[in-house]
Amino acid sequence: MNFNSILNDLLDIPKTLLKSLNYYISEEGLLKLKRLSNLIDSNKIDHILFLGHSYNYFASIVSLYYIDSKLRYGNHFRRIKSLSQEIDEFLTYLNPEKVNKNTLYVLISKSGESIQIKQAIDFLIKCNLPIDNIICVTSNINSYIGLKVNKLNVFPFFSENEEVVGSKSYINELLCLYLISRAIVEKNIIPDYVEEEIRQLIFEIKFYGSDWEFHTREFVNFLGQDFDFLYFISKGASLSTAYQAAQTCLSYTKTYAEGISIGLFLHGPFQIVDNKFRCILIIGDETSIEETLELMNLITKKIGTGKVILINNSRELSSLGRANPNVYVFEHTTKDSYLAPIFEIVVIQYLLLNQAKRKGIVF
Amino acid sequence: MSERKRVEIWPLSYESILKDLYNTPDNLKNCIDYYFKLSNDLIEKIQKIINQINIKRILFIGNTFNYFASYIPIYLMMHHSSKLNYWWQNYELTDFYDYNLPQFQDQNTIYIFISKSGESKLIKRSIERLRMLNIDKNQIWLVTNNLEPSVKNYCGLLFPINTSDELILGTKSFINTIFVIWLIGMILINENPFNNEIYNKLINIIEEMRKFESQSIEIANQIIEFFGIDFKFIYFLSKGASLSIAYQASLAAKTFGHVYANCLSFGLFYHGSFQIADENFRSIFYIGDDFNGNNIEIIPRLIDITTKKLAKGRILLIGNNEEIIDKVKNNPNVYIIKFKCNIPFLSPIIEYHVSTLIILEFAVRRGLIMFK
Repeated sequence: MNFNSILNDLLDIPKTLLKSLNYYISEEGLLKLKRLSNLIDSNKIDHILFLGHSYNYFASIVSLYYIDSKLRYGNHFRRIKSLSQEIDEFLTYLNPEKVNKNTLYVLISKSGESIQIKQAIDFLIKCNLPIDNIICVTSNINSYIGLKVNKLNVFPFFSENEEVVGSKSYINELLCLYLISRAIVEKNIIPDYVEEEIRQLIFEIKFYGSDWEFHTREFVNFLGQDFDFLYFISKGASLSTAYQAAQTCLSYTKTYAEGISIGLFLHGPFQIVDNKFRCILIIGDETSIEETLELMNLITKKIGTGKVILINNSRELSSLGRANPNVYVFEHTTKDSYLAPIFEIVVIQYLLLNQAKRKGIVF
Repeated sequence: MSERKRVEIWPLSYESILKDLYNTPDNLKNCIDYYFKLSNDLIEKIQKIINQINIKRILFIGNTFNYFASYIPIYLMMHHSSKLNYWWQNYELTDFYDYNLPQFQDQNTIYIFISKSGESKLIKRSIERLRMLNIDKNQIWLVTNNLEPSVKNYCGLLFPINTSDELILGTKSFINTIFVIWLIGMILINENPFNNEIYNKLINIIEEMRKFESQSIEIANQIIEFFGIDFKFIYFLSKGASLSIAYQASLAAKTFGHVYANCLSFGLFYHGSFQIADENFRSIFYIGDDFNGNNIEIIPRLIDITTKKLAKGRILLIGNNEEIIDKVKNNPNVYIIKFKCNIPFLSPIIEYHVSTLIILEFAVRRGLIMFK
């Protein structure tokens, strides 16, 4: 793989995001989102099932947290239950005899042509669901799935060619799914403040692109090179980042890694921590800050003197983290915890590109 | 020996742990008999509540192994979705507490909490919170080993897991938890699990566990020869209900064996991280059912890639899926442990018992557990 091609892909991310945003605030894009919102009522949709494999599946985790966050409140405009399934598990285990007619199926696939996604759509069509209950998120509107569903149910994102699969498309999917989630559970789909926050996010990513070498060098100097394994620990919507980062780490930097939630880590494998322990902690909201601190203390002081890079968007958490010399704090300004995963994965992708270069995997 | 710097030796002897693990089938048998004595009473209680409440959601909530165990009723319900008028989901406890605990009087959800002690901080807080919201106690169920938990009065139903003391947390209790929440799942899908046919199948599971015990040391030693002991990383890969075991075994490998481990579904591994495979690739595959779908192609291909084409890694396959086993049995880089289980959603019980006995032998070889 070529370093410059991958780097150019990463530098190209703001442009593709802007293209995706512009589409969804255009007449055509907004029409689709509004139609989807109306469809929830007209087809009495009470469940959403997201289906995809690998990074498509991880991207849907953000939507789950967004939609679930509204389900907690009895008086919210729309309360919908949602679930996300890896496509292989869906095809193997869901009973084909009868699927819920009040479920909206969201198929996510960059190419729209992968074997299992094609099987899934054929399966759903055979189940005699109202065809409008299937929507697809794809960068290929003329793909197999794009042509099988109602044209107005095809939600495109723009990521064109990419050297490392998912490097641009995962990020664009996140944006697209965020807007779809808003269409599902919000009255006002893209209010001005949301558009402004997305534009600000795109600007920040662009700015990071001019500064990535400095930040990455700092990360690398802090982590060192003497580690066997990289943990990506997270919670909430940012879990999607942890899973995607771990997968990228395994598949393309050939470094062993695991993405795991804070809860699972604290109640389980924390005993693996030692002085060589290295972790990237990704926090996109201010829920249970004390738990995050407990985790950092455990890793850096109590069980071992491991090192933690804390990527977060909280002034309070950042300042608490900075007090610990074994924690390197990187704070970004995307406050919306459902948009934060977009920025988080950008930062990590630059770091992993550097790791791949150092290991001689990219040239 | 592992190169890792901090290697903590367990304070328990190998013999005492082995004896405790060998007690697992008896422990399970006691639990089975307890519930078969209750049989119709239990069904009536559950059905009475279900009829009273307009259920739209069933949630299973627990941490670590309790959460992993909840994958079993989740897959059971998914497979029988045509019988269900409600949605099902499982949550890791911290995640539930932070992001999903309702903020209103939710009258349509059954909350099934799973906790061995019944006293874990977040379980208590969550249940107390539901109580404060005036959620009917019949909507709150607790699966626990504690017959008198402090939140007992807030729970409409309490399901004991009947586990005797265990030297290593989550060995015997995990298996009994699987059984109990499978029973709950069966009743929720309107299947009566209390009949002779199922009882005999459950006894067969216990016999399979004992059968493996009788040869566990010999088999484990063969696997150690096959895998080597110096690997730094191990993958646990699975699908369906057996994913619960893959998650728990991955946890056990880290806490008990001090080996970095990761657990993924076959689908996720096949579409992502398989490229990590090299000659050091070590993996345990759990295939506890014969719902094959695409897996009849994908799993043998995955084995081929990781043991022959991309790398010469090594795989231990623990399963009862004849068709897949047949396809890979001649591969010298695959070691197969085959078992029989006529209740596919309970295969994880055998898989886990087999796994703990093997991990114990690895821990001994790595010098983490000493003889008396």
